[in-house]
Amino acid sequence: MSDDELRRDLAEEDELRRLLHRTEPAPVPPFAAVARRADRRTGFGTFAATAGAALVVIAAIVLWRLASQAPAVASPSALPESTVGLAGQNAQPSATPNPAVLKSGFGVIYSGVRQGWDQGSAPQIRREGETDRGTGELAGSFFNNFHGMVSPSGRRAAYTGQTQDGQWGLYLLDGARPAEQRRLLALPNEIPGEVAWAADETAIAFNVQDHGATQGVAPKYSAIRTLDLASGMVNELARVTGGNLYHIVAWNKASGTLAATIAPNGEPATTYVVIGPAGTKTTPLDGAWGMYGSPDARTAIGVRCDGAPTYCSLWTWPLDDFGSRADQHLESGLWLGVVGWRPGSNEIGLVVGSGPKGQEQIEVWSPTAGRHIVYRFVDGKTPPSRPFFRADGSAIFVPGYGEAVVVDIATTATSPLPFPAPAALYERPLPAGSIRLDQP
Amino acid sequence: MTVDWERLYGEHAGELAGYAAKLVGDREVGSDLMQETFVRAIRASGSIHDVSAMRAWLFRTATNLAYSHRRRSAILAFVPFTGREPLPRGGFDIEADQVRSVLRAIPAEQAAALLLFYDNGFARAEVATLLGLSEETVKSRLARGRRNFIAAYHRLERGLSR
Repeated sequence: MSDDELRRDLAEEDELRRLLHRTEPAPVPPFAAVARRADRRTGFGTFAATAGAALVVIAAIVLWRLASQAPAVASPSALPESTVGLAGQNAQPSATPNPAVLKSGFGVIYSGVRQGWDQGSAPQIRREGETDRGTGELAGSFFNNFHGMVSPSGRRAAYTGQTQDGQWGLYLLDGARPAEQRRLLALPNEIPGEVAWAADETAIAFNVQDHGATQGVAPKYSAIRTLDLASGMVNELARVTGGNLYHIVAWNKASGTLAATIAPNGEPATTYVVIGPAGTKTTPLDGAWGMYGSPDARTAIGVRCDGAPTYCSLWTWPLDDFGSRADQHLESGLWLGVVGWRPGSNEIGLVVGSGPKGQEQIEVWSPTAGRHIVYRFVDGKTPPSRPFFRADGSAIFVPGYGEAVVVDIATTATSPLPFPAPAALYERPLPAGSIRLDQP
Repeated sequence: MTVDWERLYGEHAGELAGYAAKLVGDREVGSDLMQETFVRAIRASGSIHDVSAMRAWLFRTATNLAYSHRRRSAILAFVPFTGREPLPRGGFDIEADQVRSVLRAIPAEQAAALLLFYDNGFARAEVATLLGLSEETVKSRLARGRRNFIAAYHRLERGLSR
């Protein structure tokens, strides 16, 4: 290596070291919180072997009890604009709900309550406007985020879970019996991904990849299968190898058509594929797309973002014919995030931003009635995860850790969503889905 | 053996949370992984015979947890919700965001090796022991990681300045 090469090499190393030092530090809770978490997992005996540790546990319990008894924070019953943000990790009993906005016939599914498999740590279901923890608890997985799909009627949800021995499976939440969780299918040595419902709700389609794959190590295979809910029969529709992954766009059971994309591991999708009675049709994808099938699985929408100065465009097409996609010609210079299809309609929810420092807002876009603004974010306060529709499409939930806002689409009236006081320090519940429940 | 967990937590929680946050690209998740790492360490108290090797043990456990998180995220990352696409904004740290994106874009094994070696100060041999690899493998992982990181970083810079 010449002197010049050596100098360049050292300079590159210095630059790399400087860049890797860049990012801001992550939050570090007091030790008492971690001690208590360990204690819950092990039982008192193992961890309380040292007197110091025991004192810490007692301190944690006292702190928690004090937190539980804290009075509710007074708050306006309607919020004109977003207050959602990363508001710290401890949910307090929250703000006064607006009964004109909240509907107790619907439940909210909360992601990521706590890590692990302890009782009460898995995603939970609570009635809108109530803080009762007993309504229901999903089957857990270590990270306890809700990964699933609510059915077109909004009455059921199919989701993924992982037992403590590491085995993944598909589970069913039924809004009529939210306290019971039914395992639909065990998936030994595989990891499930997305779920798509048949419009008649008799079956689901889902994708899997082999369990051995890790980020950066290509999966051996990715497959798309269907599961008949009555018979339990599983049918594999397609399988791809060579480090590629399927992602399901939608499944039209009636016509026997499933649309998906194929993406090299960790990369944007490169191919749109339709698997149907006439065989398999593939179309190369231009650019980076986000795609969403309609609840009846006849239509798909796609957002394509190309960066400045074009930003994002919104397209629609019949599920089985990506070639006939049409640009909906929303104004130029917009950034778009998709909320999803509004249940019971042909409308779409979008998060729309108008440039580097422009206003960001949630809009409902209708092919016939155009764009309708339902909620404006204060700059920099966009939520940490995707907003979602109430199961009947009448409201949009704007999620946040420990706080959230519900927006009635017809009136644009808002209500804070009540959260319970934390059952453990550092709970981080995040609203992630809506389901119809039987009336209380 | 009695372990002073509170002291170990005070010494290592910050760097461990930062490391996990960089590896998974999310500060809150990084903090969670750090906490879980300590919970596991506390549970394994009885089998700890060498407290001096604790730092490496903690980093190894956090690495495995981060791998697991990234594996799960990879299959679900169809179109991650951002609310807005990443754009230069007032008060927004573009460089830090770029580093986060690049660390997420390169293979997790390379990102872990880069962070352990360049950011957390482990020697090459220590990284090898910690990750259960030969020193030669770590050397090659660092070289490939460095190449991939710099290439991805420059791609991103060009994209943003277009």
